[in-house]
Amino acid sequence: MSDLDDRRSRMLAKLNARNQKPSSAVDASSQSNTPEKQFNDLKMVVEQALDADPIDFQAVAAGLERLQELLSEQSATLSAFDSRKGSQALAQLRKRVDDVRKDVAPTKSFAFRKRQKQPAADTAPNTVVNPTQPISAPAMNCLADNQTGLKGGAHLRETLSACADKDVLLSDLTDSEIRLGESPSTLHLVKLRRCTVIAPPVRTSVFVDDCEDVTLVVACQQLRMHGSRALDVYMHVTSGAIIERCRAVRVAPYSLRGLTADAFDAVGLHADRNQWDKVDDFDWLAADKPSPNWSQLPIDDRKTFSIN
Amino acid sequence: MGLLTILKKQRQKEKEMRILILGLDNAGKTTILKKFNGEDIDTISPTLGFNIKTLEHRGFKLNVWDVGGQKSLRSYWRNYFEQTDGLIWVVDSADRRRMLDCQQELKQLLVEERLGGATLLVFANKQDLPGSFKAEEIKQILDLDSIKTHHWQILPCSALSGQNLLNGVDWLIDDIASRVFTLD
Repeated sequence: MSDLDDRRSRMLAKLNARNQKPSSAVDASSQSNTPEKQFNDLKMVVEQALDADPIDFQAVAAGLERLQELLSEQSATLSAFDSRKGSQALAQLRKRVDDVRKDVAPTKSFAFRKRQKQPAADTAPNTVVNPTQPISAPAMNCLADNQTGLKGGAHLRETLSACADKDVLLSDLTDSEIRLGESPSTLHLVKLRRCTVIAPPVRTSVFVDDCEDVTLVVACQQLRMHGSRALDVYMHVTSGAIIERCRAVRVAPYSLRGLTADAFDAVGLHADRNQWDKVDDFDWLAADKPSPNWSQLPIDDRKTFSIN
Repeated sequence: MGLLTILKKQRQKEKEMRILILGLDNAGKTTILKKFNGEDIDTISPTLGFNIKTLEHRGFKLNVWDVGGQKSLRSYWRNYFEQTDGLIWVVDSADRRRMLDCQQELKQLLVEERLGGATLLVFANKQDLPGSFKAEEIKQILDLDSIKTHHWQILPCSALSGQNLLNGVDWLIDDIASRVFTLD
């Protein structure tokens, strides 16, 4: 009987020691002020516990859990970017812990370990359908009545006519200079290489997709650039341009010699509202640092264009 | 009285609905929301993040969530699924190039368990643009007839002119109300 009591008290002491060790380490560090510092401190505690010999897996587990809690607590106040950064860092740390654990002989006595395997929020399954996979649909490929454009070609020097209020698509062109003779409704540029596109004011949006080394002179309401690099964009945008998966985008204000004074009014654009220097990068959500993916074109490097 | 009944009674008292607006970028989600709310739509920029508005309409309190549609934001859509009563899927009817993307994204949403109870309203937006697909054509492209898991409806609309926005939202409210607030 006394043997049993003895074992019981020893077990309790052991459990208490287990519980206290990690939590004291964690509490001390969570006093500090910013969430970022708390996060880094906790991360350090975990890393130190990992480097210790023998490895203190209890402290590691408690640290990871606290990190996850911190992330969820702060998710309301953190920017999407910071919170994604945080969960990425946590996922990396988890992976490291798992690797270390595989190396060290696995001690399977503690049943709650499974918890550490919970995946970071960002890695949720998303693979059921692949939206980018092209599926043949003849209905979509044919041009509708109001669509026009150019597809395929190299070393072209063309001025597109009869494109007023049309949906213009320029695609698969290389080393070309294309001008639009009239104001289109929408302008799509897809897969252009080393091209220059010059257009009078566009009624709605301009889309740029998968383009490289392209100079673009446009005025529009919205300008959306996706998956492109090395673009020089001279633009008049009334409600802001965006880039997504783009690099080396340089922007300058729209200037087109020979444009008639009422060209903006004719398509309902505000001539006096130009947000050419305000580009939103959807891959760069940190508000405090500017995106490295776009910059203003230095004034000395700006070229001039004319409508003809 | 079961738990479900209590919950239903609670919501009936508040007459509150949560509506989520999704769709590809440039579909016109924010414009629809702002137009419906009577705001200026001239200066709308692509949505970096989301907009929330609480509207009073026909005695209902609508919590409307408009989440950005850029590719990099779509993985965050799932964070907004919880508790959604109505889903408004906005289609740019003039964007022929990406109609298949649109179809794929919608299909992915409809298998989401957390959207299981939601009523689906598809807005075939930008009907004011020449050469846009008709609502009937979009119904076929998006394969809406195969949807058996949700109550759905497709309406042609123009966020620019406001055409049909009210009809669509009214239908959505009626359908949600008939599912959620059926105790009278």
